[in-house]
Amino acid sequence: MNIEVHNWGLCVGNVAIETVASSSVFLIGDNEEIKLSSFFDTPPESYIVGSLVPLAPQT
Amino acid sequence: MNHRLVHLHMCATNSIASSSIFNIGDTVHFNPRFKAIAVQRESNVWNETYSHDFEDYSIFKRDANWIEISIPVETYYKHHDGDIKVKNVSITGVSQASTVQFGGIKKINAESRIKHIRILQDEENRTHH
Repeated sequence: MNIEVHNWGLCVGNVAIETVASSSVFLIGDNEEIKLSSFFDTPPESYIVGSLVPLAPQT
Repeated sequence: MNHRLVHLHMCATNSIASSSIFNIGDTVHFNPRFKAIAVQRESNVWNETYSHDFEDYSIFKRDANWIEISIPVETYYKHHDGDIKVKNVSITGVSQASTVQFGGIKKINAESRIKHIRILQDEENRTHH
């Protein structure tokens, strides 16, 4: 597959951002390849109500 | 990928923390890795007895399944107007292995792993204050 990119101009006026967090990217410009992977884990067993038993390591 | 000139008029950044990058210009490779265990515990005193290690949880050992690019892609760039003009940018926080980039990035390979743990007290011994 052949792609031809003609960039005439890139003008950005105003941008307001609260936070850029956890391996994220805020990019104004060119790019060729982006690979993003994210693991987010809130399983039921990590929501503990009651006596604070020391957490046994979950395998 | 030929490069372009960046005209940045004004950028107000409040904080750049924990191995983050603020870059005006070009980057070839950007490979951030971020691992975190976020523990929220409801108790009246904070004690250090509970230690959490990355080895305890399988989320940090699993490997990401990247998609294999099967189609060969040939791109040809032609920058007629070779400038990137940015007027005003206001950013409150850049944190946890992130980047703010004005200009080109060739390759980005980012990974972030967060384990959340919530520990609440029982109903009866919940102290109402």
